[in-house]
Amino acid sequence: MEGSTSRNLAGAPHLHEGSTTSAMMWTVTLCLAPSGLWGIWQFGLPALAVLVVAIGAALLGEIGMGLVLKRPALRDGSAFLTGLLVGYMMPPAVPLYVPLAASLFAMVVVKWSFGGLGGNWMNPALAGVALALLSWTGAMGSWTAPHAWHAVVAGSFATPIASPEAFVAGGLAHQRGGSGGPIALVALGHYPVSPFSQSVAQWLGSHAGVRIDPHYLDLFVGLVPGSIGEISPPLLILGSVVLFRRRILGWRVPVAYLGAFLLLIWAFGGLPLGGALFQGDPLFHLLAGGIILGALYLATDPVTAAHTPGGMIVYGAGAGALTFLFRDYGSLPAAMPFGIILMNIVVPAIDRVARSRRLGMRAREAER
Amino acid sequence: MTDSEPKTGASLTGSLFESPLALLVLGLFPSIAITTHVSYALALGGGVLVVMAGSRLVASLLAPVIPPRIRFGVHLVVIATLVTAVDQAVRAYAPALSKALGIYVPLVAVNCLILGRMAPGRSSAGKAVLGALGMGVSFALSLSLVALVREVLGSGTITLFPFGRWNGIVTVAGLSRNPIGAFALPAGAFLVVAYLAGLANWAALRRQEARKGRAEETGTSARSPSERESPRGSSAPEATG
Amino acid sequence: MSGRISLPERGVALPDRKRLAMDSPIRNANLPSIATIPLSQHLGTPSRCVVRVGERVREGMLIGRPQGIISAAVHSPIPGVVTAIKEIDLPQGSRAEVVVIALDGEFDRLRRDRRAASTGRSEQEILTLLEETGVVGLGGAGFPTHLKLQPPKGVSVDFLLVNGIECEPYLAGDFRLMVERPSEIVEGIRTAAKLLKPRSILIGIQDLYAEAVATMRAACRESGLPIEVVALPARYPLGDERLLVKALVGREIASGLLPLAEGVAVVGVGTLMAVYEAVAFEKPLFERVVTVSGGAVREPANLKVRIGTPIGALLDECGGTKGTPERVVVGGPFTGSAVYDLGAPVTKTTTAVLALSADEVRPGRRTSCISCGKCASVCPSELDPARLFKLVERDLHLDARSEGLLDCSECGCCSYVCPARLPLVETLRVGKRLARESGVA
Repeated sequence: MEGSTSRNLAGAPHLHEGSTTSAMMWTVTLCLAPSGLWGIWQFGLPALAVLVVAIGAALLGEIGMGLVLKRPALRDGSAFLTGLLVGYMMPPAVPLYVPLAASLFAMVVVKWSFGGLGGNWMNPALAGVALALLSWTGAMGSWTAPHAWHAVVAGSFATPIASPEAFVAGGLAHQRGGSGGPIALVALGHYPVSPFSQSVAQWLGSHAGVRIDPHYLDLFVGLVPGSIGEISPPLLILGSVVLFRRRILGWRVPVAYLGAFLLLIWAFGGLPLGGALFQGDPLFHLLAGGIILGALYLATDPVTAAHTPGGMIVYGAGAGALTFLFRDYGSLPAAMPFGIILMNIVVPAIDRVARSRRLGMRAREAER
Repeated sequence: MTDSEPKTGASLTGSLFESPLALLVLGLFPSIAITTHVSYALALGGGVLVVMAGSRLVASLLAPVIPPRIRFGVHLVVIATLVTAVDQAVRAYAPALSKALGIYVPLVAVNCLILGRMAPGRSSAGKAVLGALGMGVSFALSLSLVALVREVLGSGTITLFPFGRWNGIVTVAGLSRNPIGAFALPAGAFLVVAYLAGLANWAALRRQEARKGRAEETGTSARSPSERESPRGSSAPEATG
Repeated sequence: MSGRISLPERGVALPDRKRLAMDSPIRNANLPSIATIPLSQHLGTPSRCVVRVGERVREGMLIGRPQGIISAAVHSPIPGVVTAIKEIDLPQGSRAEVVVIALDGEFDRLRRDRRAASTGRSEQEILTLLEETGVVGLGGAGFPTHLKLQPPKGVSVDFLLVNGIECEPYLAGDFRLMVERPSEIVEGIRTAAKLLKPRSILIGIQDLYAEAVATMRAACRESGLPIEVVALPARYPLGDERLLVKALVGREIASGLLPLAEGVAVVGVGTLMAVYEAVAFEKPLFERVVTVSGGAVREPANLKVRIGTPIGALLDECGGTKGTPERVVVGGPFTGSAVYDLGAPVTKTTTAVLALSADEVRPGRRTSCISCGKCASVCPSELDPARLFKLVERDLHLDARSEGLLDCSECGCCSYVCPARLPLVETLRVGKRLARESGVA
């Protein structure tokens, strides 16, 4: 046994492409930044305060645990990223102790109790948000009007108003035999629309002959009440394209997640509204709430997602299916965190099955 | 042949009561429900104490008379009797508490049974009762500790027993208006129990290492290729190969 | 180009660093005043020393006799006197018995007239010559060539593949050989083909070596042999036997088997040159082409070096190093060994001596694995290096074996891309050894 290990000098290979974990983390953070800036613009200083507290608490937790465990606090950008994500999932007017507790919980309990970076088995940011959703359900379900509506809604950054998701869910009690799905519902309830989307919809209608409900435009551009980092799909998608190009993001988990979620929404989404099968509105549910953030940035966390190609598809589809279930039939303000967390728990089992099948094939090949 | 085949190999039936894991799981459920308020935990802990000490006293007094084969049955009956007595007493003198604790008072019986099985046989009745008292006290204390953490974080209060005109509730300044609700839920209970167990483990490990250090053992095994730097922190003991 | 070429999606595309030495024609290195010749420069049993201290030796004289079936002969590269026979540590980590010879005397290498290579000799003669001259695979492993060119009974060779890929960065020795002496290489191919009797012969050359593709094609045409030259995209580790076979002929060699068992023989360009010289001149193998390169070398070059030359002497010949290099490597940057003792000798399997700067090595601190999956995405053997790494680190090398650990070709692609700077290849290498030693059937 004794011999080459001790004499093995600095090992091969002697070149490196130059990538580092912290470069990856900061790249993701940078790709997420535009969405947060948009949120701050739409929701004002309260949103900025929430983000600052969330990130600050995460950094505090990381440094604190580093001291307690006598390990160098790896300032590798992962704590900043976790704090950022926690902040993104917070409503803008939430009391500041909520993101504080959520971030601290994420870092101390979910990440560092299991060994720090790479050791956790549940997404820390999602777990922190889950804590908040369970502990302060009311605060996590109170939304404010975006900047684009201040003309229409006679309010300010403090005006409480329901998010599209909540508005639709609230409308379930009153509407029966709904025709046309949630958007018709929303319009029926005189849910506000931004002047910007009104004029764009009008222009499209008169000049291009295209009829689009302005509410969809609001949802698509990001001019609705919602969580700080979740409201602008284009900015989130843009960031993810950069990550795809740099091979930091893979296609399997997001595609499986969105595929399962949208399919189930389309098939069964109409049922709670009193409609029939295949009358769901996938577009609405895709754009309202944190589905895009979850599919692109949270379910794809490499530490907690499945690690095998087949496993990734199962994991993503499972998370999407559970998210659908919680959205249409759940009672908490947010569905996405729980869908993903539950699949995080099952990941080791999924990976084990995926690996044994793959190697089984290879072993059979070798025998041939 | 793989390394990761389970090494416990304990057959389910034989060692159901001996396996620490089984004991932990069985004893856990009442604890989850009880530890929402400190007074509940104290009350239940007290109940366990009374039943354990009492049943051990009766059992050791009767021991010379009872044939070994039916000893277990006799213990069961004794415990059941005592628990019923305790339940009736609580209903009579603290009806609100009885309503709050509900079925968990009789469930004390389960805890006592398990803790009783864990106790080593002692010769004299006196020593047996003292041993049972000790177990009961430690059980009550650990339950109360869990309840303390849960109640402070989850409701912002500490509920003790009413005394005179004081209703027995201590409010914690910051948390009472906006407590961390998750801790009042079962999820929080599991978290608190897990951390306390982890802390206990860590303390035991520290004591073990100190003992090893004093015995001057040089037990460094260079088995794995790079044991110097493990990405895991030092708190949670990891199960290797 | 035949239609059956299938290119690997895995592996890594490397920055072009061959330019440093590609344009330097091969020139003779200075003779070493003291040559240190290991008695084992090949796979298999080390050779047995047949000289004594104080004995006079001639250039090309046998100093190590092969022992056992898998073994090779070792010859003295210089005339002189044996000053010592001792054990030293080699860069790869093993200990070896070496013969130390001090230069003295005249060069009188026996040189037969050039025969019409293989046409004049019988197969058995050729094999005996190859055994006597100690020719081994010069690409790195050092498998004795006289054994390699003997197909097992009952196996017919479908393909003879010539490995002209030279996929590792910096290395340019094979390239220069193909550009400067293509017809001699083709003669070597002719000899190998005579022994193996393949149905077809293909030469794989990476497309960066356009000049070599041209010269080899011309030489093949002139020779009249039915050799097809295929240009493949430059991708590491395309020069790995298994991957080359898959790329050129589309066949996957099952793990644990040698390509020859499946009717495919893969031989390197350098080895074929040695085969030619052995057959045409009965020349023992005591010198080879070594690329001296790297960002920390002042004048990179391709040198024809006598076995036993200390690598420090080669660096000196190339203008010395620019300051203290971050690392000196013997072999390619992906599979070679770092050295600290510049007195380590050049052996039959030394393809290059590199002095690398910190910019090239980019050393980094090790952090935790985040399961990013980059290693698994580049692994040419389709393994999950991070997973195997974790298993080996926890002493679960038997579990690792059942998850494919022994398929690891130690190419180094995983460590190259790992952002956490995990010592993946090193650990897997140790794991493989432990798994083999733990009583694997």
